[in-house]
Amino acid sequence: MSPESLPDISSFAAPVYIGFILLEIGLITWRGAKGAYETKDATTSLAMGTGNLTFGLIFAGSIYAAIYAGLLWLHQFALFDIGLSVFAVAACFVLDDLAYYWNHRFSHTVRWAWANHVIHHSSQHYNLTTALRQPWFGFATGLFVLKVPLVLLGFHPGIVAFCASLNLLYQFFIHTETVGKMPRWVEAVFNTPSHHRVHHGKNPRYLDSNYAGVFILWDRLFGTFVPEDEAEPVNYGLVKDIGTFNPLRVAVHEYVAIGQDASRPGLTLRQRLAYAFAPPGWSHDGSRKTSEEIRAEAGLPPRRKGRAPAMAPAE
Amino acid sequence: MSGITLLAYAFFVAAGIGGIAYLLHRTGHGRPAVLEEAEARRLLQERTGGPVAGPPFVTEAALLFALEDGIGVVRAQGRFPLVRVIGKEDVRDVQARARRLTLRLRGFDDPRLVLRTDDPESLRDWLAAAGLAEEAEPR
Repeated sequence: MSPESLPDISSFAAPVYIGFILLEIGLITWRGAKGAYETKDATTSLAMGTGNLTFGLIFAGSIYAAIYAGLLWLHQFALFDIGLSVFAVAACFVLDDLAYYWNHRFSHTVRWAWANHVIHHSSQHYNLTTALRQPWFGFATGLFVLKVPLVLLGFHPGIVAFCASLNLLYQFFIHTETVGKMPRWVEAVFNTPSHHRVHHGKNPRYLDSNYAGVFILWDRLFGTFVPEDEAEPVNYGLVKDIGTFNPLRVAVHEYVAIGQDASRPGLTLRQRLAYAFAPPGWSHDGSRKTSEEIRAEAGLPPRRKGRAPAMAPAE
Repeated sequence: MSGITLLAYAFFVAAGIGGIAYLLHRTGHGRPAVLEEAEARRLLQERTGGPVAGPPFVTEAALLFALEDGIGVVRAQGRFPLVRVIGKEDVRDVQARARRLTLRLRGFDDPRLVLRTDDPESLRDWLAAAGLAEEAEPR
């Protein structure tokens, strides 16, 4: 088997997704398991997942092929020839998860990337369909550059893509309220439903935390880990929830908002750029709040040292 | 993956989504949030940071409160209440139909507010008093 022939598991796991969604609905509806579904919300999430798959196929022969070709070209300069083996896949899986951590963290702290990722957080529910509420234009963030170090280290792009696919498949299963806390050692090492519920919370103390894909160790290492507190139930969704179930509006609403903000009259170039690349919630006149500001207002300590650029309002 | 297989996969996905939506509808998961006045007022106060005075105008799935500058709306978005503060500058136009008024809004992520009521003229007058619509023609 060659690295190129490794399958894209997550894109073609629909039978698994549908089976487990039906199981979760059954457990919630007839067995009283914890969790909630709402028809329009779930249908929108599934439509977003279908759009993600469809646009993935549409761009497979152009944009994604070009990105893959670029990574293949870089692979010739790799430090090591790691090849394809169980060890190689295991090592790549761990390092790709580290790359995922930073991809995910940037997706919450840079508005341009958030415009893509906000889609996944736009549901006020947390169930297995939420996992499938995915963006349609993921390549637009440019964060695929985080795969470059893996390729330069010696992992074939085919292996990297396979590991990313496995990572996404794992994450499908943690989008549920039906599972409580796992055994302590699992909670210590892996991203679990409990840890990821926190990540989807809009409660000030839960904002911008638990970015891990598979290994929660990255959050513990980089200071972004927050445990689920049973005394403070998670409120899911966005700080300002969207008021539409229209998949097209869900897919592009934050890009439209960036365009509207950055094209306001009277702003400096720096302010226009900040509307696209500063943390979500940044505004030139302080009329909105970033996650850090919301946390500070709630009397919580800062989670990281970086701050939004301080800029004077336009004249 | 061949074209036929891809097509079959697409049909399977479409059928799966349709089946899940139908199942959720049949098992009562499609019911919208029921809004209580006290809870709606509390949520709006939380959003505006100040007290919300006066009785609300009650429509089928939304409670409207007059604010100093515009109105506060608490409406059902699926099973959850959604709070919005709407000023005159947020409204593109108001369309009246039998038993309902539609406010077309400027927000891309919240493009319209449909208000269903048995008394659309009173609602229009109420919105006019808040500066958001023209007054209804005299009855």
